[in-house]
Amino acid sequence: MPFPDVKLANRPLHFLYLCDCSGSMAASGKMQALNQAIRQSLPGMAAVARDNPEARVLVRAVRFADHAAWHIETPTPVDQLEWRDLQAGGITAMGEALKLVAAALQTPPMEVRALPPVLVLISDGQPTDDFAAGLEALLRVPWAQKAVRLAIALGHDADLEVLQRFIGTEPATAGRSPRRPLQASNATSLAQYIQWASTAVVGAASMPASRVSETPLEPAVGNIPLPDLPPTVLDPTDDVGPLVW
Amino acid sequence: MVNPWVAPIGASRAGASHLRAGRPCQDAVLCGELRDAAGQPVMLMAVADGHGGRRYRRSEVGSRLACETGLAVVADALASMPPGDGEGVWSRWLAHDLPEAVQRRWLEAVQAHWQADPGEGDFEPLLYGSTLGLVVMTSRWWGHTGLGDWDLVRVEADGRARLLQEENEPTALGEATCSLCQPQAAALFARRAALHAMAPEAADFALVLCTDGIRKSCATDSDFLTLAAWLARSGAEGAGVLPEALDRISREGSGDDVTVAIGRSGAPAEELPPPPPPAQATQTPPPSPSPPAAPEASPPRPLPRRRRPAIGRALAIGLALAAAGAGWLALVWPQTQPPPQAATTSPGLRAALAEVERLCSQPATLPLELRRRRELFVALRQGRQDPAQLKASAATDPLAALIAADLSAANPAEDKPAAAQPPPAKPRRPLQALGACPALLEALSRQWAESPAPATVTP
Repeated sequence: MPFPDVKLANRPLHFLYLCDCSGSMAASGKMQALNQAIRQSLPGMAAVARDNPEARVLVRAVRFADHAAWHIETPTPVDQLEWRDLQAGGITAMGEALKLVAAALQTPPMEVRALPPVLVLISDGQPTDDFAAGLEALLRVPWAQKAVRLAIALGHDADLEVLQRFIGTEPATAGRSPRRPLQASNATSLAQYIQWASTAVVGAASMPASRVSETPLEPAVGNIPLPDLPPTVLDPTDDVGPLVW
Repeated sequence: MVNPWVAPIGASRAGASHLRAGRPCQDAVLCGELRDAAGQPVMLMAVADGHGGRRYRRSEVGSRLACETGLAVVADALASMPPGDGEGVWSRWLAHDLPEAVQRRWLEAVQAHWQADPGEGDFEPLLYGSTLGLVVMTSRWWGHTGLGDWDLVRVEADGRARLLQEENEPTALGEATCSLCQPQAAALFARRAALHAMAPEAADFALVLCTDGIRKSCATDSDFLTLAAWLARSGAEGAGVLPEALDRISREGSGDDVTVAIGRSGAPAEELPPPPPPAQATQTPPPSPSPPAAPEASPPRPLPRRRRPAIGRALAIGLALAAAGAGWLALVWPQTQPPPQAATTSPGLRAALAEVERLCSQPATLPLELRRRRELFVALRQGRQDPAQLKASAATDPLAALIAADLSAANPAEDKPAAAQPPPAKPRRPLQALGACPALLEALSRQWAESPAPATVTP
């Protein structure tokens, strides 16, 4: 009996960057380092996507300065993505960025059968708008609750408390520390973290194992078990340089 | 009494991504033919899905033991309980007694496995975490129970399919699911348990029980129902056809492990006609179950679709809004809004009307579509979501706007008449003004009923 005329499909995996483009990002080459780190990570991300054909990795990006806006609005297959440089200038409308992402994670347009999305927030400063309202709007959306939320702090001026609230609290488990924002103090560590998020985390999110639902006796341990931070081999021609932020 | 069931069949295959990663199949399936105390045959299907991942590294054992335990518990009960017991007795057994026995014996089984083959660290049931779906089929009734993200589809003799069971736990977000390794596992079975009487003259049908890998491989629920109907029909050719089909489903779909068990009543299933194409599968209403079972997703028979001229329809909408007294459109458009004919040109209203038409054209998938918005139902009912805001965004999310517009139906208690007063006419729901079909209204009412109201303080 012939197979029926039904549509079988892999599951979309939405990967969203939320990038701080405030004026301070222009200092010490942070903006340049971020653009380069994301651009360098794309081949690895595409390779992970190829290795996991059951997931369709789609990338978007939001920039926020005086206001938040889409830098890449259309969910773009990673192998078709060309990263345009972000420009620094303005203040830090992080709350507005969270609201923008909250709207994008509504169902629809999000597909019901999508894999848990990955959200990566990168910032070097403090929000200048109503961050709490933005976070509340975001966390009301079920897809945001299910998402893997990561945060990368650039330099010492980044507001770690705000970034911690974005990723949420996760208790320490056997052999693992509680989750904290990743702290990048130079271009090298930033590139390592971006590489890790776009390859190891995407790989883990592409093949999520089912897990036990949260109960009072069995607290949540993250939507996707995050892989360890591995050492990343950078391109030796990398000319960003070991700046200390 | 004649046994109406054909021996069930099943198959379980490692998913494409599991094969690539060198991981074993963590699903399990078990089909069996048992005997009750009177010697009558009883069929059983069990599927289980081990969780995978580092925390559940023995879940392929846990899923196998879950199926075996399920069969053993059913066999023991059939041997000891009088088969002539009323359906109420067996219903309670499916919802309470069986789950407690399954959980207890599964825990004993996994502990015994650990003792025979200890691994690193201490024993904990989490290592063996698994879901379990069970279907028991007797000559007088059939029933289902279990926990976790399995699905159960009923396929009628004419090929129409409808989803009877899916996981609907509020805590089961993302890839999370309920599991036998949870302390409260036995209590979670009741929400997935139901018993259905076998009517003597009922038409033949098939039951397709599967783990989540199959549904997650389908682009839409319509595709899933069509695939389930095809599996039911193909299964009549024997279990040999299933592995190849399951491999294809995983390879072209989710990559997850895939498992199916198929039970059939009555005539050989090769007499079943081929399943309808996807569009028909969703548009054709299922017949009423016999007897009707409340927990089932059983959309009622839709009325013939009415086609009105645009102006006449708009006029009807306007009249209905006036009759309803507080139509939702009034919250979206100001009182000075032009007549309804003009209102239908509003993008929000056009989107809402189109959404009503779309929903009513697919009554079989209505409960599914609404269940997926269950967080929205709860948020609206608990006042955490502003209905006016949703209605104002009808152009971008018309379904959310329709749900918000129907919020008044969430509180039927408010409609109760005062004592010693004649019962008033049943209030007209705002969605009726938009031409909502009875199936949509009923599906909305069911979803409201499943959405908890805010806690009230009693003095």
